[in-house]
Parts: sequence; structure tokens; C-alpha cells
Amino acid sequence: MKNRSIGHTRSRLFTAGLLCMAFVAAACGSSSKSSSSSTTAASTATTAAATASSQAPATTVAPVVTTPQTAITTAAPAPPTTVAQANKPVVGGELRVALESGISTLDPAKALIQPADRLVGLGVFDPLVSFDKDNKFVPYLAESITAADDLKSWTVVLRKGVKFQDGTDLNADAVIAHWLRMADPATLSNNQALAASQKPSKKDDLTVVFTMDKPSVGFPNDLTTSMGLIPSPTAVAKDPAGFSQNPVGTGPFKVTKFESGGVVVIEKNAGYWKKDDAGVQLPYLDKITFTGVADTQKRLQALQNGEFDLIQTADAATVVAAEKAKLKVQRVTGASSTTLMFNNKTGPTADVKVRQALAAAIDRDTINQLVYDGARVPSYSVFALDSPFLKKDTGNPKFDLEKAKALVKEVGKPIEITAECIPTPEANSFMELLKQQWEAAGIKVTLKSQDQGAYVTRIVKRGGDYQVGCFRSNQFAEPDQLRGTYFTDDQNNYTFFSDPEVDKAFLDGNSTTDFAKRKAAYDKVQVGLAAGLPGVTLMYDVFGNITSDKVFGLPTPEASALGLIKLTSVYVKK
Amino acid sequence: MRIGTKLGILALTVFLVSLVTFMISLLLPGDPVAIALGTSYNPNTASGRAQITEVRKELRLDRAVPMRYLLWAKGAATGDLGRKVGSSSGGVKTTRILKERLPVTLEIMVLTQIVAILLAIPLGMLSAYRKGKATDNIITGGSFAMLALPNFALGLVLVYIFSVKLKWLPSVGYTRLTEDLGKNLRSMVIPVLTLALGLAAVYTRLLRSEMTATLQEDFIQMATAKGIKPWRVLFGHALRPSSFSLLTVIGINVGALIGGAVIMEQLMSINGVGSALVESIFQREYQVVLGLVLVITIFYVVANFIVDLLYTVLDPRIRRGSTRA
Repeated sequence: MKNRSIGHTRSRLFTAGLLCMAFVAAACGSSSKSSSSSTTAASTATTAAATASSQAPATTVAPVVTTPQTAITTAAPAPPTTVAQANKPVVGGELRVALESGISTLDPAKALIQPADRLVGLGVFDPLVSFDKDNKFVPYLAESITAADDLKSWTVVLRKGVKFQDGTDLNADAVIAHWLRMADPATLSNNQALAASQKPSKKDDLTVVFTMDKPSVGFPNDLTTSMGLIPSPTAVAKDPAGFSQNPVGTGPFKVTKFESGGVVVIEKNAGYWKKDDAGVQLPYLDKITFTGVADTQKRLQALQNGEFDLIQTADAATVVAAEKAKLKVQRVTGASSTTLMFNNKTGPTADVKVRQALAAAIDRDTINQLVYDGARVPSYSVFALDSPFLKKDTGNPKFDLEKAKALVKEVGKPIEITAECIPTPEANSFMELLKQQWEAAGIKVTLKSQDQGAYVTRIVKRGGDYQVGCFRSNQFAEPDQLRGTYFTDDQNNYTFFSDPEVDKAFLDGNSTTDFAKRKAAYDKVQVGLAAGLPGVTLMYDVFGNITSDKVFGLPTPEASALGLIKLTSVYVKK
Repeated sequence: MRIGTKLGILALTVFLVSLVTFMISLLLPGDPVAIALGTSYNPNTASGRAQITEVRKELRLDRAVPMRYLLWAKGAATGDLGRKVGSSSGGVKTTRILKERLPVTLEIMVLTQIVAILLAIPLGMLSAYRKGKATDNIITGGSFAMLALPNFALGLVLVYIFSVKLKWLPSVGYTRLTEDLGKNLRSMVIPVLTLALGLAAVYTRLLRSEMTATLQEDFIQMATAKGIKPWRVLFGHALRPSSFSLLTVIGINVGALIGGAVIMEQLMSINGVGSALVESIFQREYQVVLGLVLVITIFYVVANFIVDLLYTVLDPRIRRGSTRA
């Protein structure tokens, strides 16, 4: 009965807890004419801090993400990626947006996970740290952010004179209140554990110092996620439970209508703190109306009918269809992909030879053609294609049926595996193809599927009661976010993979902001993962922002992934 | 039966349905606490355990089952139907969902019934009056075609014709009555027509067969013999005694229409109470599911209660019977 389009299923998958998704990041913007290969630098964002420090003359200089000056200029509206570069932005007007799902919450303390919630959240709130057009970290609502040498504390200085939409001043107390609220178990925040590990203290009215137990190279990245979206402490105190529907931030737009799961309207915040390069008050638009339309094809159809001006999609086929229909498409190839996890501890897949045989028998191109009409991009790495940390020649097994057969022979006994996924049409088709491909290599396969909620719950309990399971890897800009997934005995390590070399490389990568050292460390990680095969990645995700030809000023999508954009600089021409 | 007795039965029905729904919610698979908390908490830490305790308290899982029901029923009686507890749900209250979404579904249902009845009465009567003639055959054939067509298929066809090809009507979404009447009606055309055509077919068939029998009655022959015009005979004399089955079925269809509304809401991304229910089931938001089912039940039971009362309007004998009893 439920209309389970792929796009919808995907957003559902996000909700159900794309694991480390709390720190979503990475992705890459590209212009409308792009193909997957032309995507711009993705995880370059990760290197912002790193590069800064590696270029710093003396090690005593604290690694500064960027200076406030650059923040102000680079964080100004990114140049439109589409035709209207030379055109003057139009002030006023309404933008009608169709989202993947209705908005359920806009309370950043609880975490905004759904792409729809996050897109609207970026309209109502400002993140402390964001990305510039090259996807480098820049302070946004913060004026600067500076790490101590040991990376165990970070100093965040806030912008002066910024007010929340209800007139409350943005100050250190507001930031601290937000952190304490996230850290309070009663808030039921998805970021509770992380927020609790980052202890904020007030240095002066605009300065907060965060202290951590461990070196935290990924802190700037945390501030780009919903953790870094600062809510008005006055509004939160007035109605903590209702804040998710009546949010107040410092952002370019304020919420004027909120139907949970239905239509959400945001209107221009006249007192917004930002102007564009020409000195024009931002945002340009007067009003944005968001409607949740779960079915991705229906969304596209409604755009073509003229019912919407902008739609978001996480469905590669829709992106391709829109490109073919000559619509304006901003295509984004993410760092995340559909993956298979192998149980490295028990069952047949505990034998690395079995895992290698399974990996070598997978023909990604065929799956891409048959399931996704060739719209997705085969993936052989947990890193994005254009991540500066990507190592190309890791030895990750490519399709080689003969080698797979030879490995099966080497194992010397019949291999019987059970592969599991969730019961969506998409999953059913690629699991069925995988079964055929594995059976061609002489491996006996039984397919199982379980409702997503129950499936995810079971896997994350780490009971080890699976052999091969489908999953989605997380979006990230900061490679340290992969650590939990592969670190020995970490609570997020669902494959039970364990390799002391990889563990050590992760710790090396985590303890410095020097890019060269980090790159070397993550190269080791990638080689270790390719050899140990805790799992395999299959297809990179493709996201898209599709607009009518009246919409201009789309910024480069956030490196925080999913093709998210800030709508501050968007304008509509009649 | 006295109205008082009927009201008693009505209350009993609502109570039983709430009890059964509550029990079914206990049987649903999946741990609501784990689902509510998502995956970003660590059950092995003190704060993770504190989060679990919070959710258990919120869902009253720390109470015994009968107590949980009583507390829920007490809340429901005082207008507190709980809220979503999922960490990415925004903690929205069931009453808010109802306030936002019930009008949408009600509008679809009411308009559907009106359109279906307005179509069925003339068609059914015409069909009976022209029994065996070409008109009757066309109406009967059309009715069967509509009955055979599942409403989601019809919906897709209508969307294709009116939204995609002709671009007359929106293909998705809903504009509130209070915002813009014109837009509101435009957004209602496809869902209402889709549901009403199938329903009208049922009503037409029903009215036709009842009316065919009525038209054989002596008093109709009498009226016709007196030279009263056929349309006056049909509307003035034959319609009322032929409407009993129709009325019953209209009442029953209040329930069936909720199912139809769910499909149309999904198909056209309309945020009604049906799609809210489906969402909440997928999200394992038991409090919301219980609240919505309770309210839908009340509507259903009340609608049928009203139908019962209407019998007495249609046929005074029933009213007299009740006073004697």
C-alpha cells in the first residue's frame, strides 16, 4: 500500500539510522552539465584544517581553519553554477520546493537526519561552520575556530551582533545551552554521546572553548552538521517539546507555517546578518514553500508540470531522466554507496578467502545497467571518487569470475551463504543479481529479507547473527568518521573486522592535522580494508537538485552531502 | 431501540475497539525503544541507559499492561493522545496531527460521498425506470466497468489525463480550504472523482435493484394511473422507500472510504490522516497509531449511528416501533 519508490526508500533508510550518519559530510558539487566524472572536489573539505596547518610555518601555530576575513568573503553567496552568472539576482518572489518527505522536525538538538529536514533546517538556522565553494571548511556563524596543538580543545569565536529571529542575541550562552541540551539524555538527541564528549565552557561573551578527552580532528566537521545549527535559547526554554515545530534560529528565513509531514513555509528574515558581494541584503527570496512528495518520479513530473520550481532527489534514475529531459540539474556523486557487509567473525564469511571470492564474483556494471539503467557509479572504495584521501590502487577485488572460482576451489569445501537485505523492489533486484553472480562462481546462496526497522536494529545490536548483509555506507567529509566502522570492537563495527594495522593507521590519522601524514595513514587504512574485506562497496549514491529554467543562484551543494544547498542565494526570474 | 441504548452500544464499541487496537499494538514486532532512539545512542553507557529509561517512561513501558491501557484511556478521555517519540520525529503530538490532517481526509470523504450520491441517484433511477432498455444497459455496463477498476488505477489514469497531459489540475499536494477555495477544490477533483466513481457504481446498482422492486408496487401503479408525471413519481414516491439499502451502504462505506483515502493520499502526496496512520505504523509510533485509530473508530461509529437515526426519518414506522418498544 505504501508507495515505496526508491527515493522514498532511501530517505527512509537514512532515518532508520544510517549509522554514523550523524556526521554526514562530503559530496561534491558540480554544474548542470556534469557527468559523474566531472564532479568537483569532494572531500577536499576534510583537508581544510589539514592544509592550513601543513602550510603553517611553525608547529606552535595553532591550526586555524580560516581567518575571519576569508570567512566573510568566501561564505558570501556562492556564484551561481548555472547560466545566470552575469545576471543580477532578483530580489523577492517565491520558490516552491518539493522534498523527498514531509518535514517531521526542525529541532537541531535532536538531529536533522532526513535530507528534507536538513534542507529546510539550513534555511532556518546557520551552521557554526560551513563549506565554501571549493568545499573547504569555513567558519559561518562562527567568526573563527581554532584547535589546540593536541587537538583536544577547540576555541569557537562567534560573529558579533547576530540576533536570532526572536530578537535574542547570539552569544556563548546560546551555544553552550544547545550543547548541554544535546548532551542531556532526556532530549533524546541522536548526537547525545558526541555532544556529551565535547565539554563547552564560556571564555567571554562570544567565545566558547570545547574540551574533549581525545584528539578530535573532526570537530569542524561536526559543526557543519545539525549539531552546529544554533537554536534560540529563549524559544527553546519557552517550549522545548514544541520547538521542533516552532523553530527559531539565526538563519535567512523564519518559519511561518509548519504542518508536520505536510507543507512548511519559511519567509525572509529581514534582519539577516548577511549581504551579498554587491551589498544586497540576503536572502533574495521572500518566501519558500516546501511540500513533501515521497515518490521521486511524481516529484519530477510535478516540476515539469510547473507545480514546483525546485525538487531534490536521491534517485540516480531520476537525475538521469531529468538530464535527458534537458532540465537544469545539479548532480552530486556522494561518498556513500550501497554496500555489502560480511560477518568477519562467524560463519563461512569469517574465512577471508570466502570474502575475496564473493567480492571477485560481483559484476557491478551489470547490476548498474540492470537495476539502475546505468545511472549510478560503480564503487570500489569507501572514499568518494574525488576525495583527496582516495587511494586508487588498493587492490580491492574487481570482477574476475575465474579468480572467484579459483578461490572457491581453494576454500576446498562447499560454500553456502545467506545474504540479507530489506524488502524493497530495488534491494530485491540487486540481491537477486548478486545471487546469480555468486552462484556462477560456485557459491550456494540463500536470500533473506527483513523489514528495515527490524533489520537495522538487529544489525546494530552486533549480535553477529548474519553472514552477508546489505547496508549503506555513510557520507563523510572527514575520514576519521570511518574509524568506528572498522576499528576493532568499536560499537559501530558491525562486521567485526579487526586489523591492528588498520587500527593504528586510524589513530595516526586522527592525531594530526598535517595532510601528508593523514593521507599516508588513510592510505594504509584503504590497503588494509581491501585486503581484509570487511565488506564491499557497490555503487556510489547520486543526488540531484533539479530546477525549472526560472531558478538561478543555486550554490555549490554542501560538502556535508546529499546534495544539500543553502537557499540564501537562490532567486527566481519570472 | 431507544437512542439511549444506541448511545450505550456506541460507547461500548469505541471501548472495545480501543482495547483491541491497544492489544494489537503490543503484538507488533520490533522494539519501540530501539526504534525511537535510532542508532546513535550507546546502550552500554550510562547516558545511553538514561535515554532508554526516558523513552520507556514516555511510552509507559515501565508500567504493567493493564495500567498502561488505563493511563492511555485516561489521557484519551482528557484529550491527550500522546505524541511521537522517535528521535527524528520532532515529538509531534497526536492531537496536532489530527488537527492538521483530519480536515483533509474528511473533506475527501465528504465530497466523495456527495459526488457519489449525486451521480448514483439520477443514474440508478433512470436505470430502473428504463429497465432493459439501451439507457439501462449503458448505465449498468458503465457501473460494472467502474466496479472492476481498482481506484488506484483509475487515479493514475486521471492524473495522467488531467495533470500530465492537459495540465488542468495539480498532480500532487493539497491546498487548504481556508487558504484558497479555488485551489482547494482543484486539488480535490482527482482524489474525489477517483473514489466517487467506484462508489457511485455501487450505489447506482443498489438503487436500481431497490427501485425496480418499488416500481412494481401498487402505490406506484396508482400514482402513474392518476397521471402524475414520471419524474414526480420517481422522486416523490419511489425514491424514499428505495433508499434503505443505499443508506446502510453509505454508512458502511464511511469505513471503506478511509481505506480509499489512504490510497489517494499516498498516490497524490496529500497529507491526510490516512497517510499519517501509514507513516506512524512504519515508524512504530504506537501512541500515534492508537490515537488515530481511536478517532477514526469514533467517526465510523458515529456515522453509522447517524445512519440509524436517518432510518427513522425515512420510515416513520421505525420511529413508532421504537416508542412502542
